[in-house]
Amino acid sequence: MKLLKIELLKLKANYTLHGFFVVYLIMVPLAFVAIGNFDINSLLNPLTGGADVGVDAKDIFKFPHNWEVLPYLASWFNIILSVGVIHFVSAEFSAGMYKKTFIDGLSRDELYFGKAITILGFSIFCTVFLLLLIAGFGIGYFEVSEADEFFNMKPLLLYFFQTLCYFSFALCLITLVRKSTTAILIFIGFYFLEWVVSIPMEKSLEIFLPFEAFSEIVPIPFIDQLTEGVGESESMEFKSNTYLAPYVSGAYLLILQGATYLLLKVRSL
Amino acid sequence: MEVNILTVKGLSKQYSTVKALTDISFALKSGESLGLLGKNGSGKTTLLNIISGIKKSSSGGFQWSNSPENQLNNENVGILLEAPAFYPTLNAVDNLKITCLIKKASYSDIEGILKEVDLYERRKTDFQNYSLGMKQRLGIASALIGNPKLLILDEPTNGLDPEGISLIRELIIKKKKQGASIILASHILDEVEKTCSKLLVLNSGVIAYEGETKQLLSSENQLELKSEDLKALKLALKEISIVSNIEDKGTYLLVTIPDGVTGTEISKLLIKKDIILSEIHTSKKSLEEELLKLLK
Repeated sequence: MKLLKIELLKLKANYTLHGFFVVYLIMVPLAFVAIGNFDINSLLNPLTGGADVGVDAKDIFKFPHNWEVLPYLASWFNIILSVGVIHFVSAEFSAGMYKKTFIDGLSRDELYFGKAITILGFSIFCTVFLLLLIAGFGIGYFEVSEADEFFNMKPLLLYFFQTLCYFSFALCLITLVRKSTTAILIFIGFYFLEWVVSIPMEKSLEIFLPFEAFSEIVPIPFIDQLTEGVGESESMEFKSNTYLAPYVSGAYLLILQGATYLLLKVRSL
Repeated sequence: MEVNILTVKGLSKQYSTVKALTDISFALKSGESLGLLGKNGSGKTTLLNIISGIKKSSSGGFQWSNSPENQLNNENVGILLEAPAFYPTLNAVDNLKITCLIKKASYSDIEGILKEVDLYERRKTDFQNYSLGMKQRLGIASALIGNPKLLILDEPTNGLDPEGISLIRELIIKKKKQGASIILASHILDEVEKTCSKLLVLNSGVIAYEGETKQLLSSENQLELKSEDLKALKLALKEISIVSNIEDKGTYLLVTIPDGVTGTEISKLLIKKDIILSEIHTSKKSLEEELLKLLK
């Protein structure tokens, strides 16, 4: 409780972080509305090879499709929020606050747990926001006869897990390098480096790269319909990557959290 | 029997090729105040960082009476090291709320402490908009949260104006009178002399002096002697064994005599040598002079 209160006090006045969240809160629903005004089939054409996913544009606002589409769409904004996490933690390093709170009496374990509950809080916040959006759109576009399934929490829970993975990567990185600009450059650079490294790689191996694994946690909407339009082997790769992603990401999550803990435990503040 | 609240034994710190501290040993009893003196880079801040548990020593160690070896249980301890660190976009009250939460102190302490350090009127101003002196005073306020029994202060009057220096000095003396132990590192010797009963002088990471402040200052006294014939006076003084360091200041001679020897005794000895003094002034050696001598 003490750690939560301390983190909330710090969050209260971190206006830059507020800015990152405001962008997220505005962009996600805007992007969702924008997609709903396009022909979803033609948007997915590059993936489906022209196959019809059988969903009309406005249908993505309805249950059960919005359970799948919104978390997937929101997952594209994880990078922005991760940069926000980097900024938030780096502000403490640059102000000398880790050292200050340590000499005031916080243990190194508490320093770690303070940050761990912060990123957990961010993930919960984003997930609850999406839940409200899903409920809002779902109720607004509710049609009794068409909705066979109202609840499909799985993509949302996977989204929660995905944000935790991205934020853990950001937390570990900033704890390691301590400088905001350096950490942000490494974060974005790593993203592109991974993309370059993955070009000659087999699809089945790509999933073992951290960002690739994280990005595959939330399944692509209409995956079953999509894979109908591609070859059997590609379909298998799609499905096996989606299946493996949470496990690979889980392993990375443990490694990143462990490394963050060790960095705070062992290094000079 | 007074108990040691801090015992430091054979503490050394090596930074790659630089030896910052070498075999430092001393003890501090409950209620004592220790002044830490030395030139820039003499190892004062390194020593404070180590005994505060922030940095690790290369060898040797320390023991606080209420803590495991080489650790400091920060309960009832107020620490201000180097520049005060606070959240720039939080105001004084919110920053101190964080300190209160960490030290398990009541938020109700904040108002009184801000008044003590003369920041109450600016309590709602963000830390980033504070002057250097105000930042320093907030650092002191943070160290005082929870009514600590031990204060560790590194240059607490850094950046303060004379009024601020006096205010902080009074606060330190007040805490001392309330029974708090204090470790104070400062370049302002007057501040240390007025607040610390014990001194630890570091020179290039080695102890140059450790002991009572008054002992250092009273081990030798100085006399200013005037006579019609300064040459004759000088010759006569050279024959008196207890007089040392005879300096010709042009119109008078400045000499050093051991503690306990009075000017009258010297005058009597000179009369026996047919020298009559026209003026005699006794002056205590200043801490500055003693320190400069130690650090030579």
